[in-house]
Amino acid sequence: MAKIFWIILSGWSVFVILLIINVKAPYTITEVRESYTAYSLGQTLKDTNGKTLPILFKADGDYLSTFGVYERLLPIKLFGLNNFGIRSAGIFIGALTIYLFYLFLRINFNKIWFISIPLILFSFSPLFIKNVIFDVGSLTLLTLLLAILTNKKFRKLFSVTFLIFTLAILIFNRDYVRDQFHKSILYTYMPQNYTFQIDKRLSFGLIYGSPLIINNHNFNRIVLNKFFYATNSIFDSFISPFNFEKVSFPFQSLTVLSKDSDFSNGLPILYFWEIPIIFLTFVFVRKLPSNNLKLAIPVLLLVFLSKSKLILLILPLISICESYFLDFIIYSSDKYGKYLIYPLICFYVLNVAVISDIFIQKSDRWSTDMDMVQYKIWNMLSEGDLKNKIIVTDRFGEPVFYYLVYKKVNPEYYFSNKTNGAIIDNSVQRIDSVGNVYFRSFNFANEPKEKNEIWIGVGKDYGEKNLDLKLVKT
Amino acid sequence: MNKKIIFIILFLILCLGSFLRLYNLNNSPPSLNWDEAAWGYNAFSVSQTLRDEYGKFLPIFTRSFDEYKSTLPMYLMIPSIRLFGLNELGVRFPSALIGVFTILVIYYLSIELFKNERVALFSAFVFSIEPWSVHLSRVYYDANEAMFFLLLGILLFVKSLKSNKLMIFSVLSFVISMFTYNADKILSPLILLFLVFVYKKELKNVNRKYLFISVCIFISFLMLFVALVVKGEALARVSTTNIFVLWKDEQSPRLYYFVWDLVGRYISYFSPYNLFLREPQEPSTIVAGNSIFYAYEFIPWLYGMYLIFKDKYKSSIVYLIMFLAPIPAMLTWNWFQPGRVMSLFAVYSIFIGLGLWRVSEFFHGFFKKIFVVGIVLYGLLNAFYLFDSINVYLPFRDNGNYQPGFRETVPEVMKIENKYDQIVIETPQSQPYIFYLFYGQYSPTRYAKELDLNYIGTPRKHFDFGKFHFRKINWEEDKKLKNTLFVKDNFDNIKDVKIIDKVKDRYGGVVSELATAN
Repeated sequence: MAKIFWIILSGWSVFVILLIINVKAPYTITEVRESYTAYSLGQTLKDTNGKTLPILFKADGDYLSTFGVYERLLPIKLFGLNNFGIRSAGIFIGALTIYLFYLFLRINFNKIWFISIPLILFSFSPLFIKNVIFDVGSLTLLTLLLAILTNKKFRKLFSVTFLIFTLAILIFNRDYVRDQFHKSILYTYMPQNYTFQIDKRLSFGLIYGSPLIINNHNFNRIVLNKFFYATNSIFDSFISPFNFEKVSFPFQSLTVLSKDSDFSNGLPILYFWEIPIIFLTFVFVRKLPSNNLKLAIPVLLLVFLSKSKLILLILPLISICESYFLDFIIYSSDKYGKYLIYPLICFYVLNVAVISDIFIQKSDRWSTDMDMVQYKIWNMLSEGDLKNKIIVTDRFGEPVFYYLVYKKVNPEYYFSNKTNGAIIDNSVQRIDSVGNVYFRSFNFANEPKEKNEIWIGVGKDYGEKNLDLKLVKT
Repeated sequence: MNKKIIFIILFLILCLGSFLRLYNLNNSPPSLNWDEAAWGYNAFSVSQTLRDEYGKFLPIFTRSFDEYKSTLPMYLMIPSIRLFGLNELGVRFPSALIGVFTILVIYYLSIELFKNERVALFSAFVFSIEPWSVHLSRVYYDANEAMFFLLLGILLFVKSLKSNKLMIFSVLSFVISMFTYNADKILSPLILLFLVFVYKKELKNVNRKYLFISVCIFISFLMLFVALVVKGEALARVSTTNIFVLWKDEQSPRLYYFVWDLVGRYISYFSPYNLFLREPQEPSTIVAGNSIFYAYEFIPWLYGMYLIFKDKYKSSIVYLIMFLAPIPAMLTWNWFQPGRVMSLFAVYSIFIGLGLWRVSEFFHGFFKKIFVVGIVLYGLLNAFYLFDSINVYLPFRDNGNYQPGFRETVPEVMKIENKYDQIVIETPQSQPYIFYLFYGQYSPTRYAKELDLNYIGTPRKHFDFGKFHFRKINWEEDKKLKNTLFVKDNFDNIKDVKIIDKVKDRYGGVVSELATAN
């Protein structure tokens, strides 16, 4: 059994290291924020807000993952603020996660099939690989969950620690609690403001006429009211996690997805054949050993409450149920089942190869527009260009941290030369400039211009012709 | 349950379904789309001359835009055009009426499947108010008719095991469905063959005479179908909509990505997000502000599907439709096209009815009544919202999806057309000629004389007929033409032009300008 584990872990580690070295994907906003914060902590013991070794990292109306920041600290210190330094933190945490899952399987199953197969499916799952490389903070939650499931002592210790920590957050940082609540599905059930949506719908009848407006009585109000909209919202919230296109077919389904959001992440997190099998998960979950079945329910609830942002937490469950399914397929027929094994292995290897290809070669198709544009902007500018005054539009999202990471700006320089902007709603602190780099929207035609300036914006920002422009395209 | 009460409830459901489908057909959707105009004009032509627009005598498939449309919609439109005139109501009325009849079919089919009137009433109720079934009855969709005949065929088949005469009508229904819509060309024969397989024991007891006649009918029509396939008419549309165009993509390994594309399309028709949350993207299938089903139907849908899978009910037909129906749709390049899987959605309505009934069984006495009344009231609220969406929101928001402008422009042009030797029309819309024929109520006899089949080519490249010319206006040259009327969306920034009329839509926006040279 241990041999199998080491073979899988070794193969996985080589695979992930090769992926990290070869992937040319731009950094995500999560990565640049966490990485630069870790870099700043490593150099100055302060985060980007100037706080010394904090537990919570406030950032642009949100909070960074504390795990994500501290776990990147050592790799960035060792390898530098580069692709490998930023993304290698997940290798160790990922390996630890695989080990804990292996222990969990050893505790609950005797058959080698139900130890090796879930372990392989789990380790090479696109969702797991994606979190290992790009979002080590979320991955750590899964590591902790598996640690609880495998170790009684740790479970007790963790429970006490978690309770104290939660109480401290509740007492001392209500902003954090409020922000997390707003992100959860529970917020769906709170009274919200539907005034704009309702007024918009009502306006059509009022302006263009409606059979439901009789003698100046607007009978549209029977449905165009907050109660009806709020009730529909509640039902909508049950359905929103079940977006099959986003999880498995983002490349292909652009006719339906492209209108959902301009910034939708296009990386598949499940293989296409996993979608129908996940339906069967609810059939096979009854076969789980009963004490762990009881744990499956709160985990599922947590995933549901977070609007499936924590879907990684049910990946072990999915892997186990997929192995039940494969067991059923292969061993249900004594005569022919064994002949399925080799084609299935080949098919699975092909799947992993294709996903790797997507990671490495097709990042322009699954990266968000914002990440890709920032990547091109800051790689386009040379060291000589940085001596000029640079004005970058903030239409592409928050460009500051992309600049700080891509140009490896010294934190001391950052603290000494940054200019804070106005504090806007929800205590969001914007940064106006760092040294000679300014972050703001502009109208080029009306701006006072001097020599040796570089203006970076969208095409609409430029009203004049015959200019030497370097256009950034996604 | 008392038969009288069942009848009253069913009658009320039919009234509700009829109202949603028939009210304001002239104005919502806001104008005809190409296919509606084509069927409508061909129906008009056949009713007057027994020939379609290309002069073909009583066609089975009509050439139309070179995709060889099914003609069942056309023949069904003839009486309604005679009654209501060549307009939106005349064109859409048959489809809306069939949508109402489908409610009845759903009811009786549910009775056959579950032997439970309550399930049947729930299924009929949800079907009568669902956005997809209402909207796709109002827009003329041949898939709507195909679905009706397919479901009718299944119902009659099951009933024919007791009343054998119905076997003939069942087979006829399947055949009509097959000839009506592309997806059903595959689905209908497959389902019929499956029914024969499932009920092979019972079929041994069916009167040999009726069985023989049914088989003869099926084989005859199948041979006719094959002949039309060979001729290039029956499957003409397939060449432009099939998924194999994606095979030309550069991705490697191509087979893997191709299979990924196929599976994705198949699964999209089971995706709750597509069914209950997202507005469909195909232009004529969108009901502004609504998804395919209502969001509250998600849980009964899941539960109904679960109950079917638990095999509590002998409903292998339901399985069959559920797994087969997306296959023809999967083989097209569209990711999610609701119009191609209407039979599947009908089955979903049955799941929802079953799920709702089963949930109501958890309650007893007074609470059960409260639950049922609550569900019905909430369903009615959603139907009300749908009514507002269809009659107020959609005509304005999605005006551009329905080839706007012709409805207002063509009558104005036809009022003055006899003053001019030629009329030059520039429009961004495809197939503009059909709207001039339709809204101009152009005499089919006159059109038949003016149409030069050699000139227009195959596939059709030219749309001109008589004095009507459809092309881009090149003003520097065209202003020299004498006694010519020009029609365009606007003549801004053009000199030496005399605007005769500005045509406006009902919202006051200018849709076109009629002009001559100075």
